[in-house]
Amino acid sequence: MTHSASAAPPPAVELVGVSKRFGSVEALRGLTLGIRAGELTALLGPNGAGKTTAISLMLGLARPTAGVVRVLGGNPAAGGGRTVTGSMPQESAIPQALTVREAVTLFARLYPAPLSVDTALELADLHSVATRRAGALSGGQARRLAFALAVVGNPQVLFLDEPTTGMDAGSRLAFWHAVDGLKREGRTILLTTHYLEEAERTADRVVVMNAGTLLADGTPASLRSGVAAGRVRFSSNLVLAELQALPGVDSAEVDGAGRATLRTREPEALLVTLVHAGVTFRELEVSRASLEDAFLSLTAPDALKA
Amino acid sequence: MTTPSTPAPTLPRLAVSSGRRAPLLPALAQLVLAELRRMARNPMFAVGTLGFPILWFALFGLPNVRETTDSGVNVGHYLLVSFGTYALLSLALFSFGAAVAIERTGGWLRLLRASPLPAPLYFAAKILAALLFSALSLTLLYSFAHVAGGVTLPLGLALTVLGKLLLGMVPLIALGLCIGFLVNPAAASVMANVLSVLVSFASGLFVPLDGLPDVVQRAAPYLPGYHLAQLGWSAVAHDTSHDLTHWLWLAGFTLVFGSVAVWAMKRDEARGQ
Repeated sequence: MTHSASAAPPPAVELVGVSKRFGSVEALRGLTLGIRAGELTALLGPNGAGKTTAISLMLGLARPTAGVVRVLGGNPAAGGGRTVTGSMPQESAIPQALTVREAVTLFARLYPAPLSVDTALELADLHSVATRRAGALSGGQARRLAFALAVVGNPQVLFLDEPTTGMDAGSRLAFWHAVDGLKREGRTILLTTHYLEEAERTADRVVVMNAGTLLADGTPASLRSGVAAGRVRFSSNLVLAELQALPGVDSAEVDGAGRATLRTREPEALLVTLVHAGVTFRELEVSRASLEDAFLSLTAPDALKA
Repeated sequence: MTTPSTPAPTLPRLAVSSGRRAPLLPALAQLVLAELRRMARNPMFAVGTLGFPILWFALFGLPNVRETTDSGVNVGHYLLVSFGTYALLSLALFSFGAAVAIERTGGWLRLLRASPLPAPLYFAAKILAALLFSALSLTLLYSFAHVAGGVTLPLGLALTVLGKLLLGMVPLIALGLCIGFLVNPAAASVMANVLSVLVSFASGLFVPLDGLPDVVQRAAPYLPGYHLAQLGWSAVAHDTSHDLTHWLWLAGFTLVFGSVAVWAMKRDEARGQ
């Protein structure tokens, strides 16, 4: 933060050495994290990793036991910054008697420069149910209403906690389309999700937490490449010893029908060698390690596994 | 620390950080409207707070409205105050007890806390809406008593009773908030039901106090409903000599219940989840 601010803009959200304790439970332990402005960052971690606690602190709903939390350079607990943040919590039972439009209108009035109610309804794909009472919405529609409430204030920073839980495939598609648009306008988005393929597809950056600390922080691609292997499968007449001798192979298996499964960091080099050696192979499959593989190996209880 | 005013250059139309707040009055108006909608659209709530007082008045009040008490007070006026006080008591306990418990545990309150809404505005809106709804409830009750039983209060007296009852309702609202912030929604609903009936009964709202067992008569002066009703009765009996005592009691209740409610709210906030 002491470097020239013009070259690298300050992070939109910054946690420095943050700890949070609830009674005897230490939800966060010395977490240091910067969320870059204008990016979509996915915060991943198993249940109880401290994701929701971290978001609570960023929203100013709780104060850290130790450390500093800054949102757009200010203290979120002071309240002033809440005009430029929007939040979609995991649970937000909107008063059942209000219609969708009434709830969005109410929230728009709380912000100094809100979007129009219609824009927010449009973004959340809620026009068709605008006159329906919140109590009569389906699970996915209720999530979209929570999304509308999060964006109607025209926030610079958007916090989405498990946004797509309960949404059907169509809702989900519309939701990610809207999020994409918000990101293109330069808004900063932080989301937590259990759907790793969504994070892999949408996030500029992935932060993995476990037990209140930071495990990994990088692009989806860099996290994937940190995992041991891509996987190469094919059928040939090579025996196990020959397979293991191929360059860059970390592990190899072969079944009785000659179907081999190899793990390697460099599948391309492996294939080049096979072709040059004139090996005949069929049924070739090459798959990259997914973010899910990376996530599982990072958060595995047995850290040696990676 | 760097200034917060360095958003990415592509964001000319985004609000630039703090300093600006939404205008308070439109926000307050929307919140009051939302509260009124919540109350009006919940049939159980509307029947309980608008319908029941009228029903009780019809069943227990109407046969006697033309009589006069030993001390020369019109029984119709007296009962109007009794059932009006009951209406306010149940309204305060349901609106602030059961409803706040639901908003707190369901995440609505948390969502509002993460918004720029100043917390006092949330409470101001709830209180304003409750007072408006209470005024409506008392007006309906009086209209019914007037049309069905011929009970007539001079306009000045009617407004005095209305004003005294609404102002005296504040400690009941504080009691409702205590319940809302202390217990879960199911328990809050039961408590609101039980308390509104018990306190009403023991305050002499259903049966005059001198017809109640000795132990209840001695407990009554420790109940907020009793003092609120006394203020209304003193107006229709044109004997306000003890009003100051009753106001002081109600102020004391406000202080106690209000402190507990604020403590419980802070406790709830500190959980931060």
